[in-house]
Amino acid sequence: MGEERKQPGIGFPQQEAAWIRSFLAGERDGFDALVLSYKDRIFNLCFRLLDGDHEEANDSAQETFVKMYRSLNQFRFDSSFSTWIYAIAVNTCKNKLKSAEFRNRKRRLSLDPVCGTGECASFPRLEDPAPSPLAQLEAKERQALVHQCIDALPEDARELIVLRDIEGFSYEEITLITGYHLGTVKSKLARARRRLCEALKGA
Amino acid sequence: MECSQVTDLLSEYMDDVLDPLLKSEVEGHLSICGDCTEALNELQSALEAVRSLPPVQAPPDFLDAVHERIDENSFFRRVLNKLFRPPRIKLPIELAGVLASVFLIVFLYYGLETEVMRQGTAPEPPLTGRLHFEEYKSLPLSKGSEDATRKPEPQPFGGLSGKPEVRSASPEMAGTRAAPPVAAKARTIRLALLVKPFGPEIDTLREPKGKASPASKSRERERVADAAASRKAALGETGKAPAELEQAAEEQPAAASASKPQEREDLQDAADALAAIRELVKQARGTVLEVKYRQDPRKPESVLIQVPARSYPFLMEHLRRSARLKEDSEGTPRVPEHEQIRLHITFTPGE
Repeated sequence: MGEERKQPGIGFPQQEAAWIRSFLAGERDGFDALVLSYKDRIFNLCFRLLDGDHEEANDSAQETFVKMYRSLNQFRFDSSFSTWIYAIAVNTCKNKLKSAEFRNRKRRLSLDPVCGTGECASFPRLEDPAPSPLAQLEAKERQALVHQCIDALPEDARELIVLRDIEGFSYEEITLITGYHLGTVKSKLARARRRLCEALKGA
Repeated sequence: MECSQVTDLLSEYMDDVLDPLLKSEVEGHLSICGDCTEALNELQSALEAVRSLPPVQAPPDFLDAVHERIDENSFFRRVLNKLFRPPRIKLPIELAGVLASVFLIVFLYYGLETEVMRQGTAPEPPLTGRLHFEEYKSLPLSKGSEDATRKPEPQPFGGLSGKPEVRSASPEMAGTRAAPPVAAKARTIRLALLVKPFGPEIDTLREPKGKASPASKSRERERVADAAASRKAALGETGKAPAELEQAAEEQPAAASASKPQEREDLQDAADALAAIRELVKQARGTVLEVKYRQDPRKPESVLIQVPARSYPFLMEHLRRSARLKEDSEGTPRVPEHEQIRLHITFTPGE
């Protein structure tokens, strides 16, 4: 039963603090180092939260770092930079999900022809180390199915699943990122997991 | 513990965040409940599937795209976009510009107009013709200008080479009213220039008042007549009647006249004064508009001239220096330099 968590986005706080101070001193290299350090994780978070839309995930991830660029001088070093940048990313994605532009795009994409496996054409090519093509195809089918199940979850449930089970944040960190109370995070996460489990069972 | 309670705690049990007491109770229930155990296995396999999702990586040019976006959204551009992109903001800014321009034009126009009015038309009553006439009449020397044509008062006259004298005719006006406002087109400054008395009747008119003895008068007449005869001989005017000679002699100031005041010896001949005025007007880049004579081209009565306002001080300075003047006032009238000033100069026989 042991908790198999990915290493969360918390890198090296000392190094991150040095990059931030370098950026605040006027050197852009510090900012570039922060972007390079977090770009994949932020992009992955946006991709999962935005229904697997690669283009929208790219846009939201860029917007996240632009916001970071503008507001990094407000960062307080007594808190974790990873939760701070993730909070920006989650809010950016929430705003994107609420936007009419994103809804129209999602509606338009749902009318596009899907591939034989049921995976949306906008999905990226997923890598699988399985040697046989059949195994690769099965793995892709399974990943696409899981992804569809996650996308089918309500927004807050998906958010908690992604933060906890994909990004590997602790409950306390999730409270910092989402602003929920600890009890709310626990109850919402339990409910979201049950719904995901039922969805996967039904699929 | 019932199955529903255990099902709710399975998520936290998987994450190992339950307190030890609850954890032991859940584990006790799972050891005896196959359904809850199966539910736990399903949940674990579902989360395994989620965690097995491969991470998606950002595009290779992600950092460049972020930099480009930052540059696009610089503070200056954001301000410009906020100011000019939305049409509802664009219109008020243009409208504000138009309003500012209109305000500036109106301010400049009325400001200049007020300044011109303040300089050109002062609130004090203008120097109308009637007021001028009354003040003019009240002056001790004023009557000469009007009566000189008909009844030139006999006055003692100075020498031939006398220099006219400038005299302010109305010191009270000069004291109380400095530089009356003059509207260039409507106002004419009137001056009286004291000249030698005209006419042959001077002597006869002066005779009843004269205090000299008949013998001295006859000697004086003889000297004057001799001087006139010699002058006319020099001019080639021969054949004139003796009376005319006498009249001409009367026009010449008697140098030996002991009875006339010293300051009246400098009075200038009207014709000479007119010639001097013409020369001054020419130097002042002005114009002689009109000259009136007393039935004789050698006896000008008045002259109307027009000079630029900027030349007015120059003209008056020379007039005061070279002639005796009666002025309505002193000082330069407040007229813009680019406008014209008219002066009506009357040649008044001096006393």
